[in-house]
Amino acid sequence: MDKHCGVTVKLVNDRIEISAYQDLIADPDTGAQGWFLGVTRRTTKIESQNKDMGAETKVTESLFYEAHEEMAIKVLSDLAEEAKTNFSLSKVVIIHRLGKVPIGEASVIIGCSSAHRVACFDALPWIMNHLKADVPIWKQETYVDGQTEWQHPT
Amino acid sequence: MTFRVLLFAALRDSAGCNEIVVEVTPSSDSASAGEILDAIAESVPQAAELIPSCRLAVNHSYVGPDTVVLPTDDLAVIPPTSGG
Repeated sequence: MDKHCGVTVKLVNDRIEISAYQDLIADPDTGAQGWFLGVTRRTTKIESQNKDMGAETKVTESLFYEAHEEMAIKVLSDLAEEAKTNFSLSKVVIIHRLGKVPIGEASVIIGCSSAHRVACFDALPWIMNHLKADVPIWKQETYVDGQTEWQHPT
Repeated sequence: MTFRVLLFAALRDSAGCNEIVVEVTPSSDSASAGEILDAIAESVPQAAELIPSCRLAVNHSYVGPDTVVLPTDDLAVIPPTSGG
């Protein structure tokens, strides 16, 4: 875990419970706390290249996450620090789960606190978008038919 | 000059190993990040399609193709990420 100056980032292998991290964003001088949970989704709609075919729905059995762990901690820490400065946040917590994640469980949680609500509302999507784009973590879908597929959006 | 590079996700599966040693013949006593990526595409032709969308990380930071890389650097090829 990397934790300093109101910023906590961590990679975990077990189920994420928000209650375990609630105290890390507590600050009596703030009036807002915001959380985002990214949870593993069962179905993915894929548009067919043939317009007459409609969308295909792929059904996921589970997801597996892997990371370049040392670099991921560094990039997550830099991201959390940047968000804290840019949005005048008091505290930031980012926890990402690795390994197999069953459907419906959290793969990532992001929490933050700020003096007023707008900063939390604005910071959460900014952090999540940058996490998806730059933190060296990858997910592999295992579909119900047994096929596996790494997700490398380009 | 040889460089040891870590591989991840689909790139690692294509190569069949977690790391690869590539040989680069640079004009000086260093190489560029772009030359390293080109050498990996040549060594792992089954991953050549994915390489253009990958970034090289040097000592845990992303670098551009012209960045000078030394054999002692900690290198990793980072395919498009999909965390969250």
